[in-house]
Amino acid sequence: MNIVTGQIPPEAPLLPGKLRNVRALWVVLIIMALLAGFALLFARGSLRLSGEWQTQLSDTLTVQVMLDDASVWEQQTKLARDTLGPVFPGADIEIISEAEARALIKPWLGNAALPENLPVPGLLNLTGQNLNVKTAQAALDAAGLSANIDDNSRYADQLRGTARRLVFIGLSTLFLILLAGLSVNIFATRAGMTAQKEIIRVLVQVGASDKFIAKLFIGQAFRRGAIGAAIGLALAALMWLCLSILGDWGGFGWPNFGAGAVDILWLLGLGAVFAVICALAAGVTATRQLAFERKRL
Amino acid sequence: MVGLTSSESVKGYRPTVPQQAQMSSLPDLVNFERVALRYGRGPEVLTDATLDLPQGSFTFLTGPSGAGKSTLLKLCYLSLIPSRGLIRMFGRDSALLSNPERQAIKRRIGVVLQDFHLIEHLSVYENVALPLRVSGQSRAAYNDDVVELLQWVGLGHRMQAYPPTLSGGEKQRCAIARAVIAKPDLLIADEPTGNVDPAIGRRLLRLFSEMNRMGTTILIATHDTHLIDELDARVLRIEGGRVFTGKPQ
Repeated sequence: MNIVTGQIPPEAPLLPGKLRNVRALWVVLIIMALLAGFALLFARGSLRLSGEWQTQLSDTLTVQVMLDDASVWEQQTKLARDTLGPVFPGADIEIISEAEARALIKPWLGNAALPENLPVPGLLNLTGQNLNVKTAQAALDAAGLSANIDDNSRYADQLRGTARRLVFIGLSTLFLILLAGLSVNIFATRAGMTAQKEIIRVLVQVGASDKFIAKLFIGQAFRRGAIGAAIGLALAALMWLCLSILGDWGGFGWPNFGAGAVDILWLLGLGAVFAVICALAAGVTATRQLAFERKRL
Repeated sequence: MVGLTSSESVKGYRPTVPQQAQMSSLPDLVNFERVALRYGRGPEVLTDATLDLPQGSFTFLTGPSGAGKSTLLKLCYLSLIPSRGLIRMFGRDSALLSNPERQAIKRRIGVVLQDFHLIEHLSVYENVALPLRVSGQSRAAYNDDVVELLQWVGLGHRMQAYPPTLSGGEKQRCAIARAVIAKPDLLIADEPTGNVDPAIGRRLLRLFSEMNRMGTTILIATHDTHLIDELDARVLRIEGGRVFTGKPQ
């Protein structure tokens, strides 16, 4: 017998690739992936911005030199600067001028002109790394200066709290979008099984197990999820890049290549999770639907 | 064209059971005991149907339209569950089969339905290879068998064609090839000559005879008395939901 192996067509997928109304499903999946990407980038951006602000705050100290007499303002303030200079050698110490210090107090005391002899505290801003409140306080005490030192820890705590809330909002949104993705895939699998019931009937008739049939839908949903996620997340990354370049978002956007690269790795992970969720939804739905149909016999 | 002569055989289609003379001592492949079936709350389509299909037998199932032939076949290929009564398939009570066991038995049954049930987006080759693909065989393992069988049933030149482009006879032969490719122990056909002209019908009947000669148990539902007359085979008839032996009067 003449075996015409050259005529054999390539192995075709058992479920048809092109289905009616499948474009609408693609649009939904791409939009979901886009929104999921945005939610993730929002959470990551919030974390990054909070971290950036906290770093900035932890690198500054504000010293208030308390005075009994306004006439010693310059002398006491300079003494404080000269005392702290050797304690924090790399730090930048800036004396806030008396006029600026008065301007800072003014909102608290009303619009009336401040008395000339009002003892306005001497203000110094220290910027640098490894600034320490206790060390500074000890040095100023030793110099005989009465001073209050603020390391901005109150603001840092508030920032941390705000950042936590923003991250929570971002991750909750992401979770809800993935849940919606799960539901959409359950619905799509049911619709797909209804549309392809003749094929399923034939497969069952030739002895295909539920597992075999479910695998077909899992493969189809995984491919759909992976492609939808790739397109949606790529769009999200592109839009985030545009926002970072065009807007003044600071650490919330992508301030540098490293931040963008790390976020893209996170997006790749999210894409894998998205595809797995699609596959999982299809597998569970197909298995349950086949069992249900069998019981209905 | 069905390129089959009585002297031809197909690779792998060796007789797996002894020939007709020894069949009386062989166990039944299918055994119905007082089987009844009703759809929903409707009347019983089958009532106390009792029959057996010995291994290696060739049986026609006949009766008027609507008598329940297709229903009885569906029970035979485990597509329906009886309302009452006992069905034994390959010696196993069908009611006690787990789903994997049920699917394993289905893989031993080839079915040719009236409307063929070919998958339209798969080529003739893919449709015929389906039972082997489902059973987990690799393409390399089944390729030669599929090609050889397609040539045997006269579809060697139509391997890459898709069902919508096939004639009725070609569809029928494609469905038959799919039913026999996995070398089933039992072949069930529902009106297999209903959609083809008499000449092709006779060729198909010869194909079934050849398969039976090689050991496959055959059950064919038909109301075509000419077809029944062409073969000296056992005849069961359904009347009033009951199964009787012998040709209709």
